[in-house]
Amino acid sequence: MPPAEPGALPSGSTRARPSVLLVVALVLLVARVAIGIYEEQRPSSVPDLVRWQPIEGAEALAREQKRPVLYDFTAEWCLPCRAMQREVFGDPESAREIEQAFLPVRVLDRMREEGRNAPEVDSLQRRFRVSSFPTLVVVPHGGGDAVVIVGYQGEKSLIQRLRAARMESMLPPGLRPPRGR
Amino acid sequence: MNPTLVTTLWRQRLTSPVRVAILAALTGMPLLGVAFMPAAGLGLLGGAQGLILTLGAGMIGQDLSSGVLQLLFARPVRRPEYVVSRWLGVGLAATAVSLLQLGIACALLAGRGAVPTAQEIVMFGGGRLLESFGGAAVLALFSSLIGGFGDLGIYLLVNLGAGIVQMAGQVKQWLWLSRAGAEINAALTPTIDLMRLVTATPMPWFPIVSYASTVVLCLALAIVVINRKEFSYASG
Amino acid sequence: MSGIQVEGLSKTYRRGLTGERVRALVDVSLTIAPGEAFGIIGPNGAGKTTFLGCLLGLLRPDAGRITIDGHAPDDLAIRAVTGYLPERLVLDRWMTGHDFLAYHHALARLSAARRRDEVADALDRVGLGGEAGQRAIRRYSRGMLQRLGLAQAMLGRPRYLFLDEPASGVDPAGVVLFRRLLSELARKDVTVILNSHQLDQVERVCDRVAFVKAGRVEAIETVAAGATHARVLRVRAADQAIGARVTREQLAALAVSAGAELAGLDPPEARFTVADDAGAARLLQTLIGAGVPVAEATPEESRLERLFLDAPGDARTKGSA
Repeated sequence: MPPAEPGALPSGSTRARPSVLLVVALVLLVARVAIGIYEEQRPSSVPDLVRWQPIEGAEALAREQKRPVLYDFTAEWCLPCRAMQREVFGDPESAREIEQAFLPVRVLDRMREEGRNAPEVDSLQRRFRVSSFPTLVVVPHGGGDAVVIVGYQGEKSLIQRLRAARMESMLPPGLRPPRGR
Repeated sequence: MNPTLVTTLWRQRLTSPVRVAILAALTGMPLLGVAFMPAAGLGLLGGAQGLILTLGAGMIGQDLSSGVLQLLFARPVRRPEYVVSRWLGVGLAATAVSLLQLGIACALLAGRGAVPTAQEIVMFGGGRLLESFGGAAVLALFSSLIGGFGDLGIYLLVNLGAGIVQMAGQVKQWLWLSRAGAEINAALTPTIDLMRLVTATPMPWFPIVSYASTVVLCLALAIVVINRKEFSYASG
Repeated sequence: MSGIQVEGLSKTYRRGLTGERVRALVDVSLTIAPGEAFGIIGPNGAGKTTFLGCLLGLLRPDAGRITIDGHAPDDLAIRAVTGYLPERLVLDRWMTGHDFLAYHHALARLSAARRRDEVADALDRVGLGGEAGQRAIRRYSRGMLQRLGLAQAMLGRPRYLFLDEPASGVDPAGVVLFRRLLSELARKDVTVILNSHQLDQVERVCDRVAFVKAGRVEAIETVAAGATHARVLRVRAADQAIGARVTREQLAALAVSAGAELAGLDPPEARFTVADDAGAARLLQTLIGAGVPVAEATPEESRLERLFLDAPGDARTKGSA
């Protein structure tokens, strides 16, 4: 029986360098870094699943719906705000939870970009003494003290604090823990 | 790419009683959870990571250290074929077990009148498939670098290291550091959040490109490593 | 261009982390004709296994070129017509013997239709037919492993067969079997490259033998029966008291008359240097004719053995025992 003909098999090294694969890997890596940076710089392209309500009439609406208002004081140049937006407001489950528990209202600071803010933004910032971003404020619908959360320390911690704030806001005013206005 | 190599990997995994036992536990325990808490739905089934590690541990490293590759590469087998076949073998096996688990879970939930929606089923199945092939690619790279089950060791070390980096970044409020740590951790288990992909507008490209980049890079590097390996016990 | 051409092959290892460089092969050049049975012998650590590794494409040479049938050694086309039996044979222990051969049959891209028959045939040929083929490899004895290894190497009737210590660990019956198989293969058109410490096996099977020492090919000898080479013949007399009857001078004179030379005397053994096979025959005839009761005559060392003892370039030392 004649042995197998070498010509019948595809010839070529058993150790051929995977050039195509390496090129594709390089291209994808560059694309990944580029898109990552791009999405960092352009917060509008980061998915945000929370449906923010307008500032006007928010608190009245909240009283009707018996939900606390969640003010998100933020600015476009603020990096932790973007992280929060991506990780919390862009996460389907968290976004859903926030929408169910609160009436979310975004208060966007435009001081750096435009030199001034809209009057309602200004008055809200002064009312809650907002001095840094991000600051989240939970205002109970039944009146009473607001809970202020400053800074962003990660998704888990924020969700926990929001939940705690929500529970507090559900308690009757007399039972809430005292805190400075 | 080489069906013989793929089927041989499956047969080899099935003949290891330890692996089969761990697989059964990893598949069965979440199912118990589903049986007792049907309200939680498919969420209790978790991710594919345990399956990938169980099926894939030593996928190349075991062959490296045992010495069978000497004979294998004396055959007309392209080395890239070998790497890709091991990856496919582990990926397909993990997907198959995942789908089995999904099927049983749906049957259990149907029995409680809490059948998951078609979208949930597709999302879960698709997610597990992506996870399986993604994790298998990363493990293939680790396995090509070190013999035996060293790939598990590398995996754990990277996991630990990334966690530390991430925590340090959060403590020090250095966003880039915690982001770096999170990215490395995410790269260990490449996957695409299908739900977010489908619901978010505009469609985020980053998760897709990220996933593809990790998988292709890991496979390419594993191939390069195996191409360069010298197979001989002769040290002089 | 067919056969194996090796030109200027060099390979250096870096030993461990200290980085001490070990030159395993230094400027090796040789040619192996197709269909030839080529032996490689040499002391341990001479670089024989490294050489085989380079020929098989498992190792990359640092310098030099190897072509097999005009292709590089790690070319797919060559891999398809090569069989390899490594020295440290490691098989997939979870498979049965039959599964293992079927697996390699498939890897070698041989026809699936003929797989069952060819595998059964291969198992029979190495004496592993029947129940042994169905046993898991982890329960194989050393000899059985080696037989299976040879069976695997011979799958698909390769044109180039590389055998590294094929009979190591094999029981005597197996050794006979291997010898028979190898001789068969050598007679057909198969190019056999045999690396072995068993010099008698090498001498029996091979056409040419390369002696490798310290990474270099010191000599390539043509092995043929009845070759004209001087050797020392050790003759033992049947009579223990022969020393009393025949004196040293008488033996020496007898030797000279047969064209040989008395090299040493230690009754009842005597050692003679003979010029070639014909000389050996004449010496024995002379001794027997003179009434010396010759019981046994053996060459003191085989010609290949002598390669190990002679330092290169020195004059052949005569019977320094």
